[in-house]
Amino acid sequence: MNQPFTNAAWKKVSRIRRIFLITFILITTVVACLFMSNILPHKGSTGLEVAMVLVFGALFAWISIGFWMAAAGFVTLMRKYDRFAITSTCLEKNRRGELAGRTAILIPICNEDVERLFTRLRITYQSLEATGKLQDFDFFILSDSTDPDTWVEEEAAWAELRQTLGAVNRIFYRHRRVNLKYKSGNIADFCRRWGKNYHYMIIFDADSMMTGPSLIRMVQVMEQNQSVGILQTAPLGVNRESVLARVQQFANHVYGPIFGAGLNFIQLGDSHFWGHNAVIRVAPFMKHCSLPRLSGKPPLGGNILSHDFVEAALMRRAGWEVWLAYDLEGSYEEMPPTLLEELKRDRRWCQGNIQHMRLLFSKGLFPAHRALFLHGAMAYVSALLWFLFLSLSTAEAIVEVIRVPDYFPVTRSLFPAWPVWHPQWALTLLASTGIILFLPKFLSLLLIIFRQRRSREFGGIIKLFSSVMAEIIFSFLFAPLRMLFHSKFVFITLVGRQVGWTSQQRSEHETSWLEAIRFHVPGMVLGLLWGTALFFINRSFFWWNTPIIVPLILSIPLSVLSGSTSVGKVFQKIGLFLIPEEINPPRELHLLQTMTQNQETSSAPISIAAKEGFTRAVVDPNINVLHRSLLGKKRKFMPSIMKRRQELLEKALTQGPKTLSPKEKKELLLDPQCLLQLHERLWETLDHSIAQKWGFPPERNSL
Amino acid sequence: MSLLDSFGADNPTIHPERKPDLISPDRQEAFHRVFLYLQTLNVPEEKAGEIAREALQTAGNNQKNSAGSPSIPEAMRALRELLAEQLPFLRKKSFIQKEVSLYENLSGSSSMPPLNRSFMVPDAIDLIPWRTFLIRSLKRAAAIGSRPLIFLIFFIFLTLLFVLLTLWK
Repeated sequence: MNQPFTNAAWKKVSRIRRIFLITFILITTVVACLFMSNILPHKGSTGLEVAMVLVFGALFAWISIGFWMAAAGFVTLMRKYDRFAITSTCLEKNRRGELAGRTAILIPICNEDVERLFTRLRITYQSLEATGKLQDFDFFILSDSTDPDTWVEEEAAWAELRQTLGAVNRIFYRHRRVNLKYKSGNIADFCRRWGKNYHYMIIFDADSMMTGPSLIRMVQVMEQNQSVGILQTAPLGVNRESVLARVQQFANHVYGPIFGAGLNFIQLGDSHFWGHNAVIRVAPFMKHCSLPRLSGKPPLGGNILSHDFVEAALMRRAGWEVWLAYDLEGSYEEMPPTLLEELKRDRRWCQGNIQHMRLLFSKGLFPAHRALFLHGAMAYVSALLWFLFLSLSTAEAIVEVIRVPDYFPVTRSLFPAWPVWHPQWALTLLASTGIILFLPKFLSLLLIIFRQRRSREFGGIIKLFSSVMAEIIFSFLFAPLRMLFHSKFVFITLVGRQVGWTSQQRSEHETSWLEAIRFHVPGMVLGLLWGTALFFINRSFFWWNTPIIVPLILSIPLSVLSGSTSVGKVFQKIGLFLIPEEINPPRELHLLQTMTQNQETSSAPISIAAKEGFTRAVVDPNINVLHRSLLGKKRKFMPSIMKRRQELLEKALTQGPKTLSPKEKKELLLDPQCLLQLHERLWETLDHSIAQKWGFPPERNSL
Repeated sequence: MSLLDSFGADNPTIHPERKPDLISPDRQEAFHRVFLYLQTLNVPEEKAGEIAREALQTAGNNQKNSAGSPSIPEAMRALRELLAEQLPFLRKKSFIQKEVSLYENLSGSSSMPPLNRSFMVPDAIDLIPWRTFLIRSLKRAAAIGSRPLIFLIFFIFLTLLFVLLTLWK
């Protein structure tokens, strides 16, 4: 495929902007490092102090990137005009016409909450239908679910949704038996089978939801800009009730826009792909973005785990642009409900991002994407650096207490060399670090209150301001906890231990005390030991470190309370962390809320929970037929397999479904003949106790 | 008297006085099971009763031993035969819209569109040794640095750095 143009104006502008960014980062970092070295007892002259200054420099440079990007975003949004906003290329007059290309909406899933997933899908479908352009879109649910119950539940939900919406040739479902290359493999499988039928594909995550108009707008932008390969939206976090998730979705709403605008300011056509809520041009994706296996063993070799960054880099390498539509509304996602869920997700991301370092020196990649690989890895490596910095500074503090000061150095002097410490310099450095970290938050606040005049959407100026202050306290409290876990993740990835790429728990649930104790005890013990040692050895240094030590000691209650929905609701009631979608929800979110609350209770004569998919597939004639028909043609199996399955069938019939392991259930589900036999024999059984084990109602005379 | 309470009596509306205990337990059980199956298919109660009675009657006729009542397995087998005949009719009558349409798809429906195969071959990702990469990057940086505007930025940066380092006590 030819690239329509290669000399776009943005390329020149982006180069200049990036040079400015690097310059600003370097200046602030150098200044901060000079301050730091002067604060240290030996002015950065010992080996320990040199190491401290270097680590500090790396950390300061890292936080400066965010600061300068936010500053750029602030200026862009204050001007209310961005000539490089990709959405502005799609003019009003061009929006009225028909869409030229067909679009597939892909929903790759793996053991997700089926009910919520299909509710979101239904709403997206109906929203798209309301635009009158549904005929240009098809939906594909691409399941990698390994849990047999979830598999059947998905099939039943799909069939029902398809029937209810009259979407027989519009909503499709596929279940992969082998989850090769996880999500990227799932999408690649789609492309190989049906990719040729579509011009664009929009990727959803299991917790994604988009409105019809925003889907249409994305496609229109792609049609207007023939050189764009990937268009990423900035999804907003919604629908959560736990404290932590509400804090994050508030931060996402308040600070997200300036960071989004800032990212676009610097990256322009070299932007990110975050793996979901994005539209992709199918043909170049198929041609250039298939992922190879990396040499060596996991975690650093093998299949590429965080595929999205690499796909964006490959798309760009092939000459196609990757843009962030930071101002496109109607794109939503849900945040992890608890700290532990967030950390489980981070562990996978950490491994994926560190694996990208293998690709840092790959041939042909654009510097911007190399920087993105580095940036992604630094998101986790920075935690280890912080941990290292704390360890070094603790060592320095202890050494200073133990070591006898040398008042008379070798050089001749009339006066003794008093060890002098400048607390004002330390405070200046602390203040400047604070500015770098927190000024973007206040800039966002100013933007909302004075420029956009949207404070009412967040509950008013006072509530908005209070929420920002509370969010800062929360980020203070949780930063040490995240630091400790991220350090651990980086460390175990670097020593070659792999993590499972399991699905994320996305539905609302809370952290139990037992679970929190299991995860946080090491951190709490570390905090206690570290705090006690510093308290007795170097009291002044102890006080400086209390913002880190105290959250570590309180990690267990913090983790439990932050995942609590009841506490979250209290915050909502008093007006903290409100987001516009809570005060005035768009139609789609309102529908989602209503549908989730009013889930129909089953009035079926045989009461089997929806989540017991296997039992339903055996008992319910509809589900049985559906499942067998979706398995496809009858197959012949080896006699040994048939014998094993026959034994399993007998076990299921005599002992009931609860005695079967997921593997055994899956084996039966994969065999249509076995499943039919099981269904028929169960319905013919004369043994009422067996029938009851499968959910049949008790005999009438026993009622 | 509800249909289920008639336990599959041949015609419950004609013989409302007929007591359940006059019907054999086997027949009661068989009727229950068949009726339950039909309910699971969402067949309306009246129609379900009708089909269940018909199934029981067919099962009874099929029995070699005409003395006993049809048992559950026999009744279920008869029901399956009946359903195979009656499903299109039931669907047409829209008694049980979505369920019947699913049940009817026994011959194998597809949840995906017809295949339109293509290929997707992974692009090579050649890993360059970091030294080669570094030299190339430096050369590129030198080329960029030779441009006037960029040179000016670097000059300002170096001047600032120099001033800072000089004034630093």
